[in-house]
Amino acid sequence: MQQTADRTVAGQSADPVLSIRSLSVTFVGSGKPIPAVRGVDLDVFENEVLGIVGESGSGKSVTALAAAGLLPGSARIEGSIVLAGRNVVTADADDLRRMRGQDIGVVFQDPSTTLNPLLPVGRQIVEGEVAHGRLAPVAGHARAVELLREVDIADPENRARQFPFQFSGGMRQRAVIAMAMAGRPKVIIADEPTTALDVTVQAQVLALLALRQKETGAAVVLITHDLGVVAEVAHRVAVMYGGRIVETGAVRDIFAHPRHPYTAALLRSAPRIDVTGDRLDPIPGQPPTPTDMPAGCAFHPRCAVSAGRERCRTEAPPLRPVGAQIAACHFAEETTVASAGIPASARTPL
Amino acid sequence: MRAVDGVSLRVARGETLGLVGESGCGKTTTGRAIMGLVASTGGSIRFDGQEIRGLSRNDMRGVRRRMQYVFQDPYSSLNPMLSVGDAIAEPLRIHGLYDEMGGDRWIAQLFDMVGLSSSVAHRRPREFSGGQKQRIGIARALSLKPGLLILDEPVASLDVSIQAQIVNLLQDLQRELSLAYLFIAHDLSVVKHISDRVAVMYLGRIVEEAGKSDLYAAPTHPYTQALLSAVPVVDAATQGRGPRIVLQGEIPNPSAPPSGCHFHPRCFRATERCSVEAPAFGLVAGTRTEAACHHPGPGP
Repeated sequence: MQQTADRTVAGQSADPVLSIRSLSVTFVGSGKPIPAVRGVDLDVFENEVLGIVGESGSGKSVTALAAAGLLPGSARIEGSIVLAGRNVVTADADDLRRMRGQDIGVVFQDPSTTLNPLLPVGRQIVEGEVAHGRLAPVAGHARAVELLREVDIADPENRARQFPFQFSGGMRQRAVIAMAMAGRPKVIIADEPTTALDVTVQAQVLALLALRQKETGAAVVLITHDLGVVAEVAHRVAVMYGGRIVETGAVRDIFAHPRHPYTAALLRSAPRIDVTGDRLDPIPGQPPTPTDMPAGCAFHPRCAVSAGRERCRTEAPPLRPVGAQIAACHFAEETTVASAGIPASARTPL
Repeated sequence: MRAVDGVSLRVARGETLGLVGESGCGKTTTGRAIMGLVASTGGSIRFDGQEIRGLSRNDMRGVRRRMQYVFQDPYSSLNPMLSVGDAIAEPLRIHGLYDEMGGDRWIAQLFDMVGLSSSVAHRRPREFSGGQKQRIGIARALSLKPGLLILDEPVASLDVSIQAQIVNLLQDLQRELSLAYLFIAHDLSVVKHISDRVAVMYLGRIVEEAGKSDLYAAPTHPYTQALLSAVPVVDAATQGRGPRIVLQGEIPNPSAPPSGCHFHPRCFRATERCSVEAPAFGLVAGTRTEAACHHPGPGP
């Protein structure tokens, strides 16, 4: 794992490798339309790890899946997503197929559902390269062995011939990382890549992901609910709430001086292994659901800084520079880690 | 398969014992064996001074009134067809104690105790969020006025901001009702927050047990040390982190555990002796910590 001191906010002067503008995603079906993402702007640069944190329903996974062109037909997508110079939103199926593997790779939460149980692991991890015509089928095994070796799998010669059930959970996720990186894509989307793993294995896989990112210079978009994981591997972070980014900036700045009351409250509510406290400070109420989004700032019903002010209830705050980062809060200047503290009461009536 | 092997635990009234470990370590099986939900093949389980292993079904029913289990997943542990009021009353009806315990008034009181309004009693589980469902699961477990709650990953499936609400609720209820908790979890931060004492399991055995502050500040077993050092910490963003013990390999298959000390193939302090002789569990010299290790002591 890298030390904080080594980390710099990378490549800000260069063009972003992934650039998202005014992205909205609405799922339409038989019932009410579900607005899952409501106006997201995001740039990702090469050679950096961008963490996206948020709770369930915040829109973090939908944003990332949209970037990979993996949303189902029921998703109505507005805005633009430019990946390595091409717009993902308007790309046809052939373009998307070419972009996957070459421009973008994906690591999902559960490696046992990502891998095909009926195919040898080695064959699956080079399948993309073979299908794209970048690798001759006869060279497949040798390439698979090389890829497995790169993700520290012992005895790769034999492992390449084995099936997913013969791999442990952590080894499967290493194989998926090898597969996602096989075509040297410019962007890797990792959606909760260690959530299904035990903590000692999580440490191994995160270290591997950080190492491979460094070696390849790829951009990694790491989606997680775990603030500790972001603190340890990401350079920059975007905090999502209610389908929007509420705060973004360098990890160091945001964790030391959160400017959005939600970020501050989230940092205070999590029990910490490195701090002993008497009582946790929960955020009252529940995260909003996309079909029942509060007016104005989506966080206002749970916000201690807002304290019911008119402006928070009626006017959605835009992202603006506050301190070293940008935050979407009318009263961001009033936020401190302490002021976001909620009067300690776990008993929030319905 | 021996999922749990020679585990000894004590939980006193009003106390929380945290039981932590990774998947397959046997922590859930231990909890279920105490409840009699899985049959144990040896040893002794005493509750309020009474031996409960091998009790008849009927006698066990009486004991189960006084110890209740709270499951991880509030989505699947509540009957979707039953109103939440009926779900909370169900244990009382099964034991024929509904009127004796105070009937509707007691049910309303239970809703209040877990921070819900009793006006929602007629609603079905699907109308509630995950955190609210877990409150309902806790109210149901409390309906028979038990002395011991076995909480199996009660906050693992909840969002971070909701976890804190439930942890605080559990702490309030414990104080008010002098409940004993066996808190089973994989999240070392949550366990640290809620426990008085903590026991660490690895492949079916307890490898270390101590008061919370001793266990987290001065772990003696190499596995505990590795486990604690693996937890990602928020302060890494601002202060960096110390060197991490990254264990080699993964947890072996519990049906064929390694010889001697089960941890020896992954251990950074293992010697010849560790591969042949299982270490006994006992007090580590100069500490108040109990551990099962031939080479206990401060980190590497």
